Amino acid sequence: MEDINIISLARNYLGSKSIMDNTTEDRIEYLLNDIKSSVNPLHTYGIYDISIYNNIINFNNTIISVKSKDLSDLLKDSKQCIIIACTLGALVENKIRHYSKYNISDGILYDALAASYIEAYMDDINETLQNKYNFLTMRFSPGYGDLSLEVQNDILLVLKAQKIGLTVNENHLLIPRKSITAFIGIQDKPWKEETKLCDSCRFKNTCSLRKEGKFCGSKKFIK
Amino acid sequence: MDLKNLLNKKVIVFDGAMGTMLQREGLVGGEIPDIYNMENPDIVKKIQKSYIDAGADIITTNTFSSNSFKLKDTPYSVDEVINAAVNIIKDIRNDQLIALGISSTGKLLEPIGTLTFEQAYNTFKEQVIAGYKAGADLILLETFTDLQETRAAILACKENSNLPVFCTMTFQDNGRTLTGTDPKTFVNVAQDLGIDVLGVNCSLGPKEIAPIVEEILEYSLLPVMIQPNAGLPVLENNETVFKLTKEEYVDQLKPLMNQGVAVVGSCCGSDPTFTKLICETFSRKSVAYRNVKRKTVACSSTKSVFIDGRIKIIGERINPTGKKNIKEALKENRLEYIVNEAISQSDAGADILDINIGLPGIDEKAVMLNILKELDGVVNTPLQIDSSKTEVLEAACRVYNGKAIINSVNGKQEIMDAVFPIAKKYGASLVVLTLDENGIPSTCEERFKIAEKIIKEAKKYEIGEERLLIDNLVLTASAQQEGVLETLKGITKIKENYNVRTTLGASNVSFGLPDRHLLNKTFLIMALSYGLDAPITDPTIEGIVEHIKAFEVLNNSDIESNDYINYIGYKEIENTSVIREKNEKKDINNIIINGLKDEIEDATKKLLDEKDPMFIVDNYIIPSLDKVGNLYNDGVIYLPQLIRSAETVKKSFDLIKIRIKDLDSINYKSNKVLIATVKGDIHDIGKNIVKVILENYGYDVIDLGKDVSIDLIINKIKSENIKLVGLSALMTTTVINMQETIKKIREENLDCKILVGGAVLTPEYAKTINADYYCKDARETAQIANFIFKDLD
Repeated sequence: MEDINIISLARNYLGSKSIMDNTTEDRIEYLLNDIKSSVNPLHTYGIYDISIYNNIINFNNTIISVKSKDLSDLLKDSKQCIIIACTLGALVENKIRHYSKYNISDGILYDALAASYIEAYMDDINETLQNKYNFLTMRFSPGYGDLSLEVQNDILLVLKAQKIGLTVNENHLLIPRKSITAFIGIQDKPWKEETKLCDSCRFKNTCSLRKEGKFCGSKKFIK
Repeated sequence: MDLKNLLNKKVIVFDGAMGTMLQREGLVGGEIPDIYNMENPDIVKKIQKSYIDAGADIITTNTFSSNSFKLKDTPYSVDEVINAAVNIIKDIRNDQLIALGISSTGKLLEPIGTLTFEQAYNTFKEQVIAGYKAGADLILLETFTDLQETRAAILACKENSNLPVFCTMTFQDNGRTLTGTDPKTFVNVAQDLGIDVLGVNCSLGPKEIAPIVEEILEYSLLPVMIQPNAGLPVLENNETVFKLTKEEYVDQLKPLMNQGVAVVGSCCGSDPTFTKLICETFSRKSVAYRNVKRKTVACSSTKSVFIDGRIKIIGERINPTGKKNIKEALKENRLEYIVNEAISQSDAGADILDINIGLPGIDEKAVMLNILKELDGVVNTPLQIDSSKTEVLEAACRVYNGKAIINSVNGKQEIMDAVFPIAKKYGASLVVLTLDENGIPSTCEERFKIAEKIIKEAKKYEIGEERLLIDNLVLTASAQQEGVLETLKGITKIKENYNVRTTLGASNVSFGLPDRHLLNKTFLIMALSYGLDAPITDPTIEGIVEHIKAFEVLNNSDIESNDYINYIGYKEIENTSVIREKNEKKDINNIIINGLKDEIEDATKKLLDEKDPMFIVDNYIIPSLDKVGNLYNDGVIYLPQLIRSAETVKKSFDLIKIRIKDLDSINYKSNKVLIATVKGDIHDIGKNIVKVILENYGYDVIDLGKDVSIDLIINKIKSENIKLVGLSALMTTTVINMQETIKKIREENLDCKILVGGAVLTPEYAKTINADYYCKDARETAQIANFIFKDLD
């Protein structure tokens, strides 16, 4: 997890492609150090045999059975799938509240840095898994394409994610907010990136990523 | 089993894992194990029978998840599942006790989550009543990770049953719970809430939890229990397994048992063979003796502050008496002002913060509860609840996520009768004022007598001396000069005779005399040398903290002057950076465009000396804001810079507004805008940005926060006569609630415009949910607001 990657993704979230003024960059450095010294990111995952029929993916020996054409397409060459959840935890939420109350500009920077930190954390785990299982699909999170957020309830139950302090509210939002859940298919052959999952997305006409030729979860977006 | 006689004398053994055992019996991933009580009771019975056979004294019901949230999508009620669970054990037990197992709701409480304290309480209450009715012998609150949720559960147990309560939390390898509570803070907060046993479960293996258990043993006045996992989890063949053998497990338990653990069991990865070996090794052995002294302590959820010989500063600034800004902020419900006061006092060196918001015309209880929620997690400084109203003290102590100090009780019988029960129930410490029905006595001896009376009365409520902070009441030197020394002598006298601590509202002494800071500081040092433990003072005044640090060096309490040297070093770094910035002079446009927040106040004041406030707004502020806006649109600057400029303008505006009001308060009027993140949504950064930008354009923004109910929005629109509402929603699943909110506003025929924004919205979608305007960002919101109000004017 390189600082430079975290910072450049955070800048990206803030709308900037390059370094900003000295004051802002100083604050970014200070706040990233604050995140690194106070955060205790946690994750949990499981590997499940899957079967797909009529765009319904069944995760064997669990309660998860989810309908999604996009996820079915992604997992079409997978017999097993990793379900993973990670979170930066409740303390980061309090830090965001702290900075936002005292100093909104710091709050915005901290929020963006925390968001890119959790992405980088997840990327690190992804890489470890990649080394272990050779061929993995991209990471696919609830909310991508046609995959509903509702599946998050079941994901958390199956992974017993309460143990890492991850919960959902009645509107299926992850709390703490700086958290990610995702599916990653395990394949026998290399996975080829495809962008057709945008077809079923309700934001396809307004999405700013798409205008740049990128899409959710794409490696191109991270870089 | 005779729990009362055995507890803390002989080691008592709890059963082991249930989930691990049910998985072996075919429990599917994500399935709620509690359902087995209804659908496969024989399996549950078989497992629990094996724990009984292994020799466990206490068997825990299979009800870890039996709350209304987790059972919502099952065909069974909480009552049914818990009743079945208790009866399964009843069928097979001999003299074993039945522990009603209760764990977290699985939801996060406010302010991070959306569950309220009372919702959590009511959820637990339902479980407690069901278990009590079904015949459980005790309650085991287990695997809690959030102190506030634990408090809600304990109160639900105590208020709805008379069963003994055992309470454990789960800690991470960094020594804290998931929400940041350390072991001693858990102990300090929980042990005075009337529970019987406390400890740690799950978490890690016995070896890894040793430092946590040792800390608990050091501070706990109650018997301590542990139920660690069978080591650390490992993923093997796609399954989570625990590798510790029962022999290793018991070996690792031994040092902990030798230090005084009274109740022992096991958790994830264990089975009845573990229990059997635990029983053979430890059951009915004598519990090792611990000598724990009660300490004087106040806690937030993440920090314990001990009043233990080192001086502790109680910050006094959050108090409307004589403070115009706080009064205004409270009247206008601008709680962020209060939060800022809390943060700046903590940063300046306050150890504890006094919160007094007594002001005629406000709903003190409601505002107090809101402030406690706002401060929870934002500052980790423990709070002192300061109110003359018993109902405010009670409500605040109930929801305070920590262990508060109550300010105050005094020698009036009526006050003691009202306040001591609150302190007892919620474990609070108290500031004790040495006055009674006859007022403040003039001599040290008479005040001493009142203090003695109060100390005696406190003992009736089992409140020990160390929970009392005696305040000998300062008289003003200008009116009663001879009384000042009486107050100080009283400090020494009470400490010589009792194990109490002392506090003093130090700032009254200078009332009516010039250079009050000088007198206050001098008096503070005098009081410290008489033995004052916790002055109530203003740490943001220059010199206060420095003098206290210096005193602690000379008083030989800051060993090797470490704190003093650190503090002075830190100050010097701060000062040089301030000097460097101040050397460069800039005009106000420059200051705004560069977002130099530290320089704007001086620049604004200077300009206000020369020019009319409205002239400044029209010729300096607005043009600079426009310039910043254009730079942002052109991609020269980005969001953080735009906001820093906006915050800079806000500071300037605050000063200008005061001047405008002073000049013409009758005609002063600003347009009100109500903003909120809708129900169910917890994202508020975007909304906060909108707020600061609207304020830049002179709007009076009423910010209802996040996760705001439809009713609250409707009521506020009516009561504040709102003409413009801004709603924010970030997720597809919460836009529904935005739609519902708008529908309700329309149904009520409220004469107000609605603008909406948020990541998932589009102009088209805004139209379909019947909003008046879609705003793509904060600047556009301000432009639309200007347009709307121009029309209205």
